[in-house]
Parts: sequence; C-alpha cells; structure tokens
Amino acid sequence: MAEISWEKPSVPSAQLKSADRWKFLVGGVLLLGAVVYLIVSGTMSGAQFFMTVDELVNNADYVGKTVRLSGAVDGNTIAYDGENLILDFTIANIPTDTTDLALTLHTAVTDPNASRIQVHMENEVKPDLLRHEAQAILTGQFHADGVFYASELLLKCPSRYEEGVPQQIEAS
Amino acid sequence: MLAEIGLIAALFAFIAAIYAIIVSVYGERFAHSEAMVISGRNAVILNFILLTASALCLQIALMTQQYQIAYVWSVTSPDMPDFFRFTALWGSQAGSILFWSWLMSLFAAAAVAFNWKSQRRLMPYAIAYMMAVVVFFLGLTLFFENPFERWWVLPSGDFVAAAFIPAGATVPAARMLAESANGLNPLLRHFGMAIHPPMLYLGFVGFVIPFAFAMSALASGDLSTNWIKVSRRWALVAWLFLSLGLLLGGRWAYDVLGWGGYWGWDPVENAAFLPWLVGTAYLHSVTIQEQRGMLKTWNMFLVIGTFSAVIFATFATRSGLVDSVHSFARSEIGFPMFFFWFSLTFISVSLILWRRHRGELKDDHAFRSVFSREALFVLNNFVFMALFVVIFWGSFGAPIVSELFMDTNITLGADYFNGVTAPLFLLLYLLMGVAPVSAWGISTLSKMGRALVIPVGLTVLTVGAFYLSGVTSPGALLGYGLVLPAGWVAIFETYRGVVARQRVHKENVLHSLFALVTRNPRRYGGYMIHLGIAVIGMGVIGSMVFQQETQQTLSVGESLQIDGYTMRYDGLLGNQVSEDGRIMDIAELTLFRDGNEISHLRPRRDFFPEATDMNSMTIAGSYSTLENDFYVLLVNWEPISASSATFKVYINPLINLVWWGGLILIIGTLLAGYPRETLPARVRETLRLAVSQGARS
Repeated sequence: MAEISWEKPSVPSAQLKSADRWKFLVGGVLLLGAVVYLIVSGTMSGAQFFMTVDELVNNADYVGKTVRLSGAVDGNTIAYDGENLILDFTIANIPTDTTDLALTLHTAVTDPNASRIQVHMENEVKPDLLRHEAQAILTGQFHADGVFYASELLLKCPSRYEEGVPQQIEAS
Repeated sequence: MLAEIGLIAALFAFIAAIYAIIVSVYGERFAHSEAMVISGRNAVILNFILLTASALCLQIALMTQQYQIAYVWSVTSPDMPDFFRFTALWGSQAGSILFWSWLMSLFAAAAVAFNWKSQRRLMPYAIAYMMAVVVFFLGLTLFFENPFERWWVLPSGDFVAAAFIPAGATVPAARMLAESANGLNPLLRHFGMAIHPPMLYLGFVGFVIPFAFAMSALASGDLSTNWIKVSRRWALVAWLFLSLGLLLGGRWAYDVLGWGGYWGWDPVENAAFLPWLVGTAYLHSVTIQEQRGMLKTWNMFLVIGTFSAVIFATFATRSGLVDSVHSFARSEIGFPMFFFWFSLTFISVSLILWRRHRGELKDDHAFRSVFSREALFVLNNFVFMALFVVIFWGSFGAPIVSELFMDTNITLGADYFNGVTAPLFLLLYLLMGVAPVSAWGISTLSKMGRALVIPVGLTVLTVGAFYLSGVTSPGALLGYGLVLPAGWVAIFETYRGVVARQRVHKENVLHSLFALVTRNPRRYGGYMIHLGIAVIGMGVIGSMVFQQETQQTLSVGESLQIDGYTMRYDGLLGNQVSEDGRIMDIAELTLFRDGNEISHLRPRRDFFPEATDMNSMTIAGSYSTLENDFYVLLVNWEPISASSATFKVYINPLINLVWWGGLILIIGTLLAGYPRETLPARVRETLRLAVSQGARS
C-alpha cells in the first residue's frame, strides 16, 4: 500500500502550532533527563573498580567494597569441595600487560615476590577453565581477614589455538 | 598447492575490488562511460568468484587435513568429525575474516545482480563503497591474518609459519604435524556454533548494502526515495540474520556454557546487540520517510550508524579491546580496524552534513500532532537510541573513559544493565502497544483509546489469570501488563482486518487471513514481529524473575525435589569415548512429575584429552515444557565408585517463550520482506498513468 505514496509531490504542510511545539520540547527534555538520570544512577550504583592484586593489597580504601579483581591462577592452590561447592585458590598479581598473555601469566605465577590473594567462593561449580596460569577476573569483596570473597568468576586462558607452534606442543 | 591457489585467488580478488572502485567512480563521474561502469560491475562478480575459490581452497584444505597449513593445524585434528572440520572455517580469527570477506562479496554480487537495472544511477558509487569495505577486510587477510601460511622448518630446526618458503627451509614431516595438531576449541564443538557465527556474520555483513546505497545517494546527489526503497529490503534481510544470530547465540550459551542463562550482558554480546538496536530504529523510521517524506537526515544517520556499529562490534570483538568469553586472541589488527571504523564514520557523517548544509535533505512535512504515528515513531527511535547509548556506555564508554581519564578501571556488571535497560524496554513495549493504532498526520487520544479498549481488556484478563495461577510478584505482574498489550494489539488488529474483509468478501476465516496478509505483507509481517517480541518479553520476565535453583549431592537411588519435579540419580556412565575423541562422564537421571515418570536426562561432563586448554565442557540435561525448563548440571562425582554425585538444578519458567517468540519473529520478518507487489496490476497501471499525467501538467 505504501509504494504509490512514495512519489507524492511535496505539499507545504501546516506548521506545528506553537502550543504543540512546546509539548514536543518539554517532552523531549523530560525524556532526555530521564535517560541521563538512568545512566548516572546506574553507573553510581553499579560501578565496580577493576583492580590488580597489588592495588588491592596496598590500598585499605577498598576493603569491604565490591570490586573486580584480576590475577593469575596458581594451579597448585586450587581446592574444591564438590559436595558443598566451595572453591578456594590463590591468584598472583599480573604485572603490566604485555602482548603475550601466556608469558605474562607464567611470569606472574612463578614470581616468588609477586603479591598474592587467597580467593574463596561458595556455591560455585568449579569452572572448566579454572587451571594453572589462567587469568581470573573476579567480582567480590576483599575482607580484613585477607581473603577475597568472590561471587563471580570469569576466566581467560591464553589461546594456544592461535599462538602455538608444533614444537611447543610436542615438548609439553 | 591449495595454499598457493587460495592465496593467489585472494590477491586477485583484492585487485579486482580495487579495480571495481576505480573504474566505476571514474567511469560515472569523469569519463561518463557506460562501458567502464559495466566493467566495474563485472569486477564485482569476478571478485565474488575469486573469493569463492579462495575460501573453497581453505575449506578443502580443512576437509582433507592439510596440516602444513598453519590455520588447518591450529583448528582441526585427525580425530575430528567432518562436520566440525567444515565449521572450522570460521573457528578462529584468520579463517573467519576470510569467511567474512567472502560473505560480503556475496552480498555485493547479489546487490549488483538484483538491483542493477532498477538502481542504475546509484550503482557506481554503491559498488565503490561495497568494494572499499571488501578491500579492507581482504587487506587484513593478505597482510595481517593470512589463513594460508604454512609451517616450515628452518635450517636451525625452528618452526616458522610463513606464506612463502623461507630460504633453506624444508617441509615438516606430515605425521608430526598431524599428531601435534590442536583441534577445534571444544566450546565451538556444538551444533549451535555451526550456525550462530554465520548467521551473525550474515547479519553484520548484510548491512553493508543499505550503507553503500545510502552513501551512494549522498555522493551522487540522487536523494530521492530510490535509496530508501532498495536499502529497506536489504536492511530487512540483514536484520533477519542478525536477529537469528543473536537468538542462536543465546541458545548456544544456554545449552553449552552451563550457567542456566542465555544473555549475560557480556561486552561482546552487547557489541552485537548495538547494530540490532540502530537497525531496528532505522526499519521503523524509514517508514516515515516513505509515507511522509520526513526525517531524511535522521534516516541517513541511522543507516550509516548501523554499519558503523557493525564495524565497531567487529573491532571490539577481534582486537582484545574488552575482556570477554568471546574475544579472539589479542592481535595486531586492532589498530587498522579502529582506523577503518573511524574514517568510515567520519567520512559518512561529513557527507550527510554537507548535503544537509546544501539543503538537499529537507523534509516534505513537519510534525503536526504529538499523538500522530510519526511522533510515536520518533519516540520509538528515541528509546532505541537511548538503549544504544546506555548499553554502549556500560560496555565500552565507562571502562574506556575511566581508564583514559581517571587512572582507574571501572566496569559495569549485569546489575547496571538490567536496572537501566528494563524501564527503556518496558517503554518500548508500551509504544508497541499504542503506535499501531495511531494514524499518520493527526490522531486523537479518544480515537486511539477506542482502538485500545479490547487489547487492554485482554491484557487485564491475562494478567488476572497469571495472578490466579500464583504469580503474585508486583514487578512481574507490572512487566507482563506492559508487555502483553503489544502482543494483543498485534493479534487484535489482524483480527479486525480479517473481520472487515469477511464482511465484504464472504470468505472463510483462513482464506481471509491469507488474502489480508498477502495483500499487505509489510504491515501484517510487522504485527507478527511485534507479537514475537512480546512473546520473547514474557519469556525474559518469567525466566529472570522466577528462576529457582538448588544443588544437592545424591547417592545412587536417591532423589531430590524441586517445584513439583522429582529427580532420581540412577548411576554414572564413566569414561565413554565418543567418535571425536572426547571422553564423557554421563549421569543417568530419571525425572518424575507428580509421581509419573516423564523423562530420562543425561547431563554430562566432556573431557577433551588432546586439547591444550579449555579441555572440558559441562553439558546440561534439560526437560522442556512451555511452562518451564528443568535444567540440570552434573557438577561433581566420585570417579571410581560413582556412588554419589552432585547436581545443580535450575527451574527456568517460561524460557521456551524466548525461542518460540524468536520463531514467530523470524516468520514475521520473512513475511514483511517478501517481495510482492501490493496492489493488483490494473490499479497500479491506472495510478502510474495518473502520476505521469500529473507530472506533465
């Protein structure tokens, strides 16, 4: 039904009455204000600081606050109680990012001087990706007892699918 | 051999695309040569043929296990079934970029084939823009992410991947390569992954056509409604695939990722959702331009914004900009992609502003009433853009701004997204209920009110029924109350059309419905899409607000109860080896409802011994009804005795409505895009005469 009306000659149409113009303007401003409010209040309440282990350990300000924490998983420390779904492990500080994630994580875990934090999670199924030298991104609170109580865990493994070389795989 | 042919074909495709750009623009603008423009068209076809050859080479190499090719080595292994060898084409960065270029050249060739005659004026520039995008992606393939690189052994004994044989290097032993091959990422070994990425890519890539025609209209100065006509249908095609891709992604997450949900507000999911939002806004507001000749500049912004969002999403996914389960490995294509996205957006916006400045994008009508359909459409566009802004801010804006200017790194989680988008989505549903009954130009509140009486009545009845069936949460009832009118209005308007037709034609109901829909597929397809979205909304509210979960450790023979279901643990089948080499531990469960046995479930854990990372996967068992899903994960078990195992169980109410709504949406979109003349030939002829006479007088 629409096809024929496309080429309608343009008729100068009646302009908006000024009362209606006001309605549009006021409505628009109100809507815009509502969206800005949504964004600001949402950001205020939902913002989580993304931190490294070093930053968290050395800064008392963040104790008890919900933050996101990134660290390298030490595989030897993973303890999982499958019956009660309690998961404990330790993560090491990841120094400044380099392009080779695998190497960065390896250095972090093997560095004896790197700061570490113990992570405790309850009611958590042990994820398939939780392994030695994976990067863990946790959401939770660092308590005064020195343990990070996490409620959310995201894991990233250096993708050897793309960086591998035949030799390395053979050697391992 | 395959690697050489594939690489050379890709190189020639690259040259053909550059040639197409040069001759079609030069031929149209400076030489005014039809022959040159035709030559440009042929180069587009040639580009498609060459890219097909190139992609085919890689595909054959994957199927025939040519492990010397590094890409084949990295995504397949000897024990994989052929099906996953086939899907490995898009299993990793290099292959998926080639696949992406191929899809784009497929779209370009299709646009040239279908629209050559009808859009002859727009074609030369459209070709130039489409090919420019192809050139960029092919450039990534040739210079950054070459899927045809092969393994070589240097004289020193080191392995190196290179497209051409390095001096003194030899070919590695085939057996050694086959044995060390990686295999496809286990998470991608799922039927959903076979279709989710291609659908998403088709959706992404498809928006290049509306973009190219819009840009062509701006460049050539043909700003009549031509570009709108041709771009709307292509946008609808792209939108269909994008919607499908998003839905399938949700389904895959639900089946494979094992967390009981389907949408996690992950930055990459959001990145794919952003073009959908802008594209949907465009598909609505384009109608205003067709019907009323309004919002011309705005539509240009939307169509270009959609494609810009597509390129941004690609950049965000592939460059390692954000941490996400979807990210490809960090790679060096980040900078070229960002540069491409920025220049594309900058050039487009400058062109729009230039044409606007020259007064060529002036509207034919102005707004006349706050309650007119066009005003409601503008409000619809506003809400879509607001959703775009809040989601963009949460996924990319806040993290990037805080990192650049505040020396800290802020991220926003699911709480932010749920809280901020919920009111906007509900407003959108409200509009979906009201806008279809409004009229163009001017409509009055009382007229609209009368049309809404029955749908609102039906909504009250439905919400009442929900209340009586035990749904008492005020938030959920309010949600249903806002979502339902959208669906009821769609159904009721269709029903009214059928009744009106029957009064005149004395047909049976089905015949009437069929005739009504085929006469105006766009309107009734649109209603059907609205219905689908309303059904999805019901599913989302149900599964979000009323999800239940529990976990328990059971010995063999023991049961657990949840929400009227009883689940009995019958035993564990350990170490089952499947044909692709995965080792499965399968729990056998029997599910009862009200004492009756209804199903056997087999949640399992798969272990991939040959994979180097992500080597295991938790597959849920689920029992689905329209009312809810019983969704169970095998969490932990005694490996030797298998006497007890721990399970996590989710009850996801109404979740199937999400998938069913998706199906309705797809059928509606197919209907809305169905190419069909909407008036009988006789009437069209009369109108054409009237118009041409009018033009002469």
